[in-house]
Amino acid sequence: MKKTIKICTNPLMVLFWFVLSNILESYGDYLTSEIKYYINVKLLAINSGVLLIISWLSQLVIAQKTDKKAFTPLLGIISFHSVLLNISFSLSEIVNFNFSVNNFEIFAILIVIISFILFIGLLLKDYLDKDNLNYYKFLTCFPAVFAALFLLFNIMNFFDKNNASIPNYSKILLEKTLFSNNEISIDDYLIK
Amino acid sequence: MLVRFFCLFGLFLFGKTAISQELTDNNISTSHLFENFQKDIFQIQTINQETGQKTSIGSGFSVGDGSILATNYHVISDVLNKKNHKLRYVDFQEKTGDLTLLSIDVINDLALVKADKKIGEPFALSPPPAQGAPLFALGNPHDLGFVINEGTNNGILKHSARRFLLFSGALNQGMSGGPTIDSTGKVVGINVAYLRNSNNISFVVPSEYLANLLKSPNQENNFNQKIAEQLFTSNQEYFEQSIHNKWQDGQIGKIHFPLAMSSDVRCWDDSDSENFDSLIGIDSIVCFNDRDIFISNNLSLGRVSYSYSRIFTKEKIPTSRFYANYSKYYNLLFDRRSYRDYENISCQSNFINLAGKKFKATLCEQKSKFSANNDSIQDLRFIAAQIGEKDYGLVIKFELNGVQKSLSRKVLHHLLEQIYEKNN
Repeated sequence: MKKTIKICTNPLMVLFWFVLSNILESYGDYLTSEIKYYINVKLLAINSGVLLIISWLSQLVIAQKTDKKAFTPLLGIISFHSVLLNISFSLSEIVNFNFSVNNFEIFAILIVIISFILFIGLLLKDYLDKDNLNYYKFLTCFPAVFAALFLLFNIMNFFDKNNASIPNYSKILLEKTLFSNNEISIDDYLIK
Repeated sequence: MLVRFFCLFGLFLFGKTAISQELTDNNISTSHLFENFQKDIFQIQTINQETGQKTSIGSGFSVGDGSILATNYHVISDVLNKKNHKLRYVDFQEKTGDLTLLSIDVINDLALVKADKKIGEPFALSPPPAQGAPLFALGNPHDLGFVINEGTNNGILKHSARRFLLFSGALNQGMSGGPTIDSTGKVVGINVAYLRNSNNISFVVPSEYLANLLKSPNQENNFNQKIAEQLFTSNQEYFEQSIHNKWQDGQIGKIHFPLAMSSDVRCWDDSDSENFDSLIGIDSIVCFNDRDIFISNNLSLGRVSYSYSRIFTKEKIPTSRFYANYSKYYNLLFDRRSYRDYENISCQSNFINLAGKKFKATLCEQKSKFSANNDSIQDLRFIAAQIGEKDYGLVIKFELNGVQKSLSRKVLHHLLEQIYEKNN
């Protein structure tokens, strides 16, 4: 398992995931932009800032117990999961669209959070002794998990005052469906 | 464009004197009217019993046995929609008394309320005079006292879902429910609304609807049930022709769409032709009616609107980028409803076949508390977006407010079955 997290914590891989995270964010912004697109510097700055700040907050926890610097591997793990979240969201949209279900993104977020906690746990074994490991694992994960949960609640309209009366349906359109014969007549749709 | 222009206002009734106060056609003057009718116009107030203060005012006038006042439904609606509210009248000498709600007609915005004794001479009702004849609207605008506004009868509204008299005279807030009389002093209608941002364009409910209401002035017990029944009947009448007839035909590109389903529905071009920077273009037609049934201060029903839009790329862009932008148009807007009146919105999505093409469709419905005969009044929203093309798509939207579920689906079904593709 420790080898597994090397794909996140190796300095070159940290750079790779950090850059890829920004590329995916920019690509998502490019897709939804309806005017001629150049680079969105503001978005890049915000995304980079969020990754760096969460990593820095997380490493503050580790810094209480050890002198070893954990910022770089934390940035790698957080960037990797940012990429994972982007990809999971895209897959969720395909599922939502094809199966006419709502908020499949919730599962994507939960899976990414679980993966993140596992990765952090493996990382912390190199930095902290077993005493209070779970406690520090919780504190280290908190900034990133908090950000992810904020995203989750936002998707669920949790912050809306009148959330229960918000129409809930998949709002993504894709060019093709996975199945070619999954359409019904308006009679079946409305009357039967 | 979709903004509704009508503004409802409060009323005050004026108890009208009997036929003995007849005025001759040649001798009509507002001073005579003032002298003869001032004492028979009442202000109707809705009182919050917790504070003892009024929450709305309007006008009313005496009908039937002289203890009954006619007014607008919207003047007294607070007593049905708010807790601990009661009705009260105030006469021209500032004497007050309690009123009981007898019956309502939400479709024509009328109500009958009853005092515990005779308080005025009942007005006589009459059909409207010929177009062009003078009319006089009476009431208590803005709680300032009795006024008479002279205007002209322009006949029943054309191309409208509402059979109101078009009165080219001034109506103001507080005059709602007051009578509009002809030159003989008979009531030809009840003041109901004016057109906002206009000059002297006002509306009057013809007296025939009041006469119908007076035929059964017995006290109702369940007003919500009554409102539901009236909406059911009115909806059935309103859509009866539409769900059987072919609607006006229109087209965007090769696809033909049904446009105006009845004479009160107006269709407009709604294309977005001014956004030069956008890579996405829209050719769009939007249709809507002018039906507007007041239920409470935050609930009006009867609106129908539908639109057809062709979304396309102005320049070559990747298909995935087009669909990311196309998705932005796949959204439904609901009017905010209170939990007291409505249940939660429920939606169902599917892929459907329209005009031989594949569409992603979503139908959302929100049931209200107004129900009868195992059916309930609801709001319906529908959206369908064509998929499969690389750089364009069609979006169909349909909105209905305040129609029973079975009927609203029939209307939508009839709209969808009239969509077809025709190669020229």
